[in-house]
Amino acid sequence: MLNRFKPVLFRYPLRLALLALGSTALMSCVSTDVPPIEAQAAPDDATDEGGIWYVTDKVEKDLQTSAIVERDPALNDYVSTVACRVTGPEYCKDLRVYIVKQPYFNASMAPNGMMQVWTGLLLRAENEDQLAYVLGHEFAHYRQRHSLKQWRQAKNMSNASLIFSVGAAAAGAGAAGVLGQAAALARLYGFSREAERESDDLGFDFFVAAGYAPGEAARTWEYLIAEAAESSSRRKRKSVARASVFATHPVTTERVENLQAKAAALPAGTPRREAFLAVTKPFLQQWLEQDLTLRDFGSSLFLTNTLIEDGDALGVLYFHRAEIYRLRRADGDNDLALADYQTASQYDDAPPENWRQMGDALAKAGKTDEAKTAWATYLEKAPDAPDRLLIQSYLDPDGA
Amino acid sequence: MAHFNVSPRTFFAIIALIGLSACASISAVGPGPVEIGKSYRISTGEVWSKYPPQSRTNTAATMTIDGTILNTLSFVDGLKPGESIIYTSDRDKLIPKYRADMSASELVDFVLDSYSAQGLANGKMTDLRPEKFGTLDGYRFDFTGAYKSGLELSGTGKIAQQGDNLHIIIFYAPSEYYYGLRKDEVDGILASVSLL
Amino acid sequence: MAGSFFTLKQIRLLILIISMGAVVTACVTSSVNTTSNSHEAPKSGAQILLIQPDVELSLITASGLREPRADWSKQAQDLIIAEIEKNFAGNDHELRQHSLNMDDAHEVQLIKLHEAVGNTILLHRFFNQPLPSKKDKFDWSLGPGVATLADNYDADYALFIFARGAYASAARQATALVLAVAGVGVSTGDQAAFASLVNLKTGDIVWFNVTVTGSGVDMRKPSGAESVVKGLMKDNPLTNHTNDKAKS
Repeated sequence: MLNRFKPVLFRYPLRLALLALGSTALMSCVSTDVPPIEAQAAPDDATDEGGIWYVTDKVEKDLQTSAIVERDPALNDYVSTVACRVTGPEYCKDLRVYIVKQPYFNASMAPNGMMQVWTGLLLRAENEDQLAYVLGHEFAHYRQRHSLKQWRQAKNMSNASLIFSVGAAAAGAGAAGVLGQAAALARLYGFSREAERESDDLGFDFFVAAGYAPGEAARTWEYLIAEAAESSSRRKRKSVARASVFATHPVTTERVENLQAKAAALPAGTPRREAFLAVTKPFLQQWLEQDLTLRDFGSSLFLTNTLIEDGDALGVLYFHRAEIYRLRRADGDNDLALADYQTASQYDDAPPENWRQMGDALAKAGKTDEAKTAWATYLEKAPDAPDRLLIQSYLDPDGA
Repeated sequence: MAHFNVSPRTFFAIIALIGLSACASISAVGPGPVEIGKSYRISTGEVWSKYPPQSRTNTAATMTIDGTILNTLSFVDGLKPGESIIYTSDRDKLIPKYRADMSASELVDFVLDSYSAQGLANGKMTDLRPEKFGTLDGYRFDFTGAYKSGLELSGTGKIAQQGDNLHIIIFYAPSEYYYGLRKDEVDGILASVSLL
Repeated sequence: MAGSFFTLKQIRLLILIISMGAVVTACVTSSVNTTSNSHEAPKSGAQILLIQPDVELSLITASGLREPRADWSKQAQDLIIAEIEKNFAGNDHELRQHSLNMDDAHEVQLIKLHEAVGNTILLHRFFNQPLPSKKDKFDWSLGPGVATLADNYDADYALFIFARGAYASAARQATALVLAVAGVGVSTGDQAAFASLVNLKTGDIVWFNVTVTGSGVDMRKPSGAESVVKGLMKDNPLTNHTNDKAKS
């Protein structure tokens, strides 16, 4: 619209402008070829990397006082120790591992050494080796300074796409400008895949050097692919492990095969399971509960059945499987839920809520007396239950 | 309506966007009776700021005195089976949905799980007891939680089914100062429900 | 689509006009709010905790990405602190710097509550979302729980500062000039800051100010920091009183 009032000469200055713009953008093109970071090194404040660290240091401070960090000392000590095993003593001090209470399979690495391990990952790892592989992969991102490379790539890309999008916009071709940006973004993702591949390879080397069982690297991804195939989300079935760092950099068959091939060339080794289970077991019920807030019943069932096969913590697991059926409400789920609450009740580690839910399920099935017995057991097991008054009203509807 | 992710670091960016958009029509209500949707009426002791209904989250009204980060009182009027109180533009996203056959604890879980899906951290029901909702048999619940930033929250609410449909009133505020500041007022509002 | 494109372009031009105007005048605008609750004027010898200012400055790249700069941010933070200290030099109040004690859970909650209240004030007082329930009132408070801070640090007030700034790179300035010729306006920098003063007896936010400057004011330099802090500390009850006396 504005162009209508421009003199005809407009075309000429526009070309000149684009030419000049091209040269300014090229001038500010920065190198994405950066060497690995040294141990215990920090960037100069006057650099782009220094700025990125400054901001991520502040984000880290916020994270430290946030509501989503798991502060349990035993669990934190354990995960940090595994991280140090993988990084080696020199880089150990450079990483600070935070356990973040989020139900997705995810880990992330900030350029300043702030590593996040999400509880959805700890819930799904089968042993210390699988955890160690992911930590090694993330450490490789840090050591290779992938964030800095990616930032510089983004900067160069946006400078380049500026020429195109502004040029196209000024010429009145809005859609073409948008397409230009999409193409630039696509190239950014391509770069990230290279970084993922590099981290796969280096992470594997770190984790093998630390003495972990090589086959467990690929097994982590194999499990995720199998779980995603059972997901209730159509899109997740299509693209593995959505909402994780691995969403933008999908776990491709090619990546899994790469890790399998590397492992095949090495002695098998024995995965370390005992210590891992001992330290994660106290959190199992909490993490499963959080997983269920995602309402991905297919994934949750696959996960729970896998854990039941392993044979530990069966009271917690049967209770949890009953909870999945209760919430899913497919045909026959009421019966399946009731059966699992009853199975769970045979195990010492079933949580008190198992009896409340069993009571509700029995009442739904018309078995009022049995329901009352279950509710009464619940109040015995949890004298300070938050819903005590409600349950008492069930036991004594007349309020005597 | 619940927004549990507000952090000062992103705030300038957010307000810049809000500053550009037209100002939402926030109206003054109370002290006195306020009709919520088509089904019930409450009565306030103070002046509240009321945001218009949000059909996307099936919210009949959202009210605040000090600003929604500092206290939010939200109302749902007759949620139908299969509906949710979360808005998502992602049609493939799996979210908690209301069912008519839910038990009392399932109804409260439905509300708190919906809030958790929107970022409420460490949401935990701390009390659940029978309480009338007007003439309906309803339930009163208390809960605790936190914004992701770490600011701790306390909350209370009331739910009841009318036929197959669900009414929800839920209040939350930072545990530090603000929850206590408005607790008596909110208790009064929750006690004032009458069906239309 | 054409309509929205036109609007976007208009907005860009508007920004350009504003920022160019700011360059010429190097303007600093302030917007002060003071509590409507009853409060006593600060006693002489008041102890003030200056909570470590949150300052973040960035470089605007040719295409408009904002790249954080640690050196500028730290420099501006030092300059701002020095300027605020200068503000207090002429009176008998005592200013002390304080960084958050993360081991004190209650202190952490109070600081986070202040963030929430600050964000609320910004939204409802400065960004076109007035709350009818706050009509003719500015009574936001952190509540009497702030006594924790008063007791732990023997203080009467806490002063919070939050500042952001962005500065165009040479390539960005060239881009802006070139695009201006083509009729496209782009931002070449801006700065915004807010300050808040909390009474540590009542928890009341007794004074709150937002300052916005154009790209002509540069917080990285002493003179720029001086202008920003001057705008930022405008009409505050602690130093303003003495300033007035000095003037009269």
